[in-house]
Amino acid sequence: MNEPKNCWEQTQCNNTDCAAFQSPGFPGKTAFASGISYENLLYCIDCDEFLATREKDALTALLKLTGRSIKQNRLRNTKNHVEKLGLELSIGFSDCFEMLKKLSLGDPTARIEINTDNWLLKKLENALNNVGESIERFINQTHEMAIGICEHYDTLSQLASGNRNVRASDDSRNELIAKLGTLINKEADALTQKINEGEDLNQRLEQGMTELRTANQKLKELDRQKSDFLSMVSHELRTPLTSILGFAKIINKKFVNSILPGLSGSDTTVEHAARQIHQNINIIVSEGDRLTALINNVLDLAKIEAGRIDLNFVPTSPLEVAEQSIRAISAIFENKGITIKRNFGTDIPVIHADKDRLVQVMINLLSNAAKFTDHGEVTCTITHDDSCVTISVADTGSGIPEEKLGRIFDRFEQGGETLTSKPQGSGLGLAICKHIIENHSGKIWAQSRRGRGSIFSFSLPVKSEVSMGIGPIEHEVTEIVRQLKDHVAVIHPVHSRGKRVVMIIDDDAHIRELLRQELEADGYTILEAADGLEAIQKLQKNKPHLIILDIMMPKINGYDTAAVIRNNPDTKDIPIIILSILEDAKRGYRLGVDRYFTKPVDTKSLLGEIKRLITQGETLKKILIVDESESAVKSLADVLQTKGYTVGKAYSGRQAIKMARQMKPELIILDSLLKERNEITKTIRFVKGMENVCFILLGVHDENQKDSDR
Amino acid sequence: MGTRHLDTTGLISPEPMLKLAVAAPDMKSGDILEITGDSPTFEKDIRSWCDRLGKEITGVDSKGEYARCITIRF
Repeated sequence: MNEPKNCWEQTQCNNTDCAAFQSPGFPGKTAFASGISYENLLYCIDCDEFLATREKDALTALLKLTGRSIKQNRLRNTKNHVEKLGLELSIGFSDCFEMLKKLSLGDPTARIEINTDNWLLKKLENALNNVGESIERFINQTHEMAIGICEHYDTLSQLASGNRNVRASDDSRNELIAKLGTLINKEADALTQKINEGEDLNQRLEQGMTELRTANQKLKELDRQKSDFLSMVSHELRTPLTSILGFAKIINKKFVNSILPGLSGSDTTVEHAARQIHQNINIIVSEGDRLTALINNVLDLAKIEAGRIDLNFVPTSPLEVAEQSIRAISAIFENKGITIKRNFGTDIPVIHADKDRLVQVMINLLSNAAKFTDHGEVTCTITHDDSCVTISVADTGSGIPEEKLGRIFDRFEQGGETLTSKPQGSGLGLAICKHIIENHSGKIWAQSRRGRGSIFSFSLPVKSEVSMGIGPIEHEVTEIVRQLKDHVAVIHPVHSRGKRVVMIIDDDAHIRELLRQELEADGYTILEAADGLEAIQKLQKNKPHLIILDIMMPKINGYDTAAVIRNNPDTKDIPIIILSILEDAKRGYRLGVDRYFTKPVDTKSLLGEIKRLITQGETLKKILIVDESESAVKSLADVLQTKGYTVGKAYSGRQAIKMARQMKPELIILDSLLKERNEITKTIRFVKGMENVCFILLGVHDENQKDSDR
Repeated sequence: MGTRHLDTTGLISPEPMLKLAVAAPDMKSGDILEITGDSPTFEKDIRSWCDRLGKEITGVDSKGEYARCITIRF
């Protein structure tokens, strides 16, 4: 660094406002140079200012000024000045630093105020405050955006949770946030309108649904009323029909047996008229039979649809069902000249089913096949797999039009052409079949081709859950009872002397008259009672061999009458046959009646049963069960007791003999595995009054064993 | 109803508020949020946020010159 030898010789103060400058040549008003660069740093003593060409350089030079040697005659003044300036700058910079620190710590409101005339500090103050304002504006905007977004989020959340009245604020200072608010509100308005419309629609739908439900309920009620009405009308039809059909048959029989022979050789006109009468009566009888079948179908369907069908599930062989059904309607096939082919698989398993109902289904399918087949053949097929047995009936008849095939199992739907052929039957048969099969957890379906024939098939599960409970025991008991009823009459013939007396209890005089005529013709003496009360009074004087009892009667109904008869020691053994329009055989059997017939009754089978029961004598009521297994005795006893039998239980030979002496049973059921069985039979045979007691062995299927026991 | 803590210590404006904005949607009505921070504008920022969003400040615990723990009920 070169220090000038003579400052004022080199330069002068160039501040135009400086008085020294305005007075050229004044010796004291000189400028001197100091610092690093003489060119850049000038100091005028008079105007007390640094004069520099470049401010930055001047500042730098000034900071390094301390300790420098300055000309002695200027030194004191300059030193004071520099110290004052340094102090001022030092305070000013310190303020600046504080302000910057505040800003950097996150206070956008930090500002600086320096009370100085120093141009540098003033400029610095101005610049820093501008920066502070910018930062504050920026932060405020960010705050506004953050709060705005939160607000809108909140609004959207509330809208989504179902508060349709909430709206976003659209007056934000931030333009974007304000616009977003407007947009959200517009969408919310549209959404609310749509929801309101939807709700309105929903409300109307709900109202419609309620109306529909009410209508449906009414329909169901009407359907139930219809079923009840049908049931009632059908029941009511049965009583007069019983009279009409019964009397027509009696007229026919008497006409054929008594009148026709007397007319032989008479006038041809009379003979012609007689033949016509005979034919007409036959028509009445056959139409009466048809009407009976129709009423039975209507009642059957009404019962099934009302869920009142009682299925008696027992182990059933599908082959037996098929054979029994084919036998039952073989006459129809023979009459039409149609052959029936059997295509039965091997090892067809036994299923749990109501045998009579399955036979009903099969007869229906077979008779339909016969009805619509004029020539050709009908094939009955039985197949099976692991899960089910399938039975099909295929014919070579006219087939079913495709449009009718889907509805063929509906009520009153008939396969034939209604305009060209007279509908036959009630149109209820297949509907009943469908219900029966579905009640067996099975399914039924039809396939057909016009002119080629039809195939009706149904499948039934091999293992039916509904049938597993009491079924096998029931079956066993039914079998025992059947054996009993079949054989006891032969074993214990009661040779009644004189006329056999039958009491008819029915409030319908025509029915009583009809039964009287039928029974008198068969050699019975008749006692009549118009109601239960009269019957009970008459029974005190006369003891008939058998009672025929109606159910629906004034004063005391048939069930109560039966109960009174059974509870009187004098009358408890008289066989009772119920003949009613009601189908509640179970209730009858519970009361201990022997047979249950519904009107109109087939006279032939009624007379057959009357004969069988009277021949049998006292009704079989007391059974003794002997088995070492308590559970076996109990289950068999329970079932027999529900069928109206008095049951004694014994678990050993000694107990059995003791019990037999006490209760005098008509039948003893013995476990064939019981070791003392031979002793029991021998001992009991020698007891007075039990010489003819009937034994049934249960439990083994060993023929040799049976033989030895016989 | 639950209580959640949010620590914004060391963060300067507007970061604490942005953190609060992110946390808010997860809060259910009745929930409590305790937010701590030490920015010079922390209390002012949180107050203005709560004011705008309709949230209730149930307590302000002073922990230093600017440091606060503010309890907000949603």
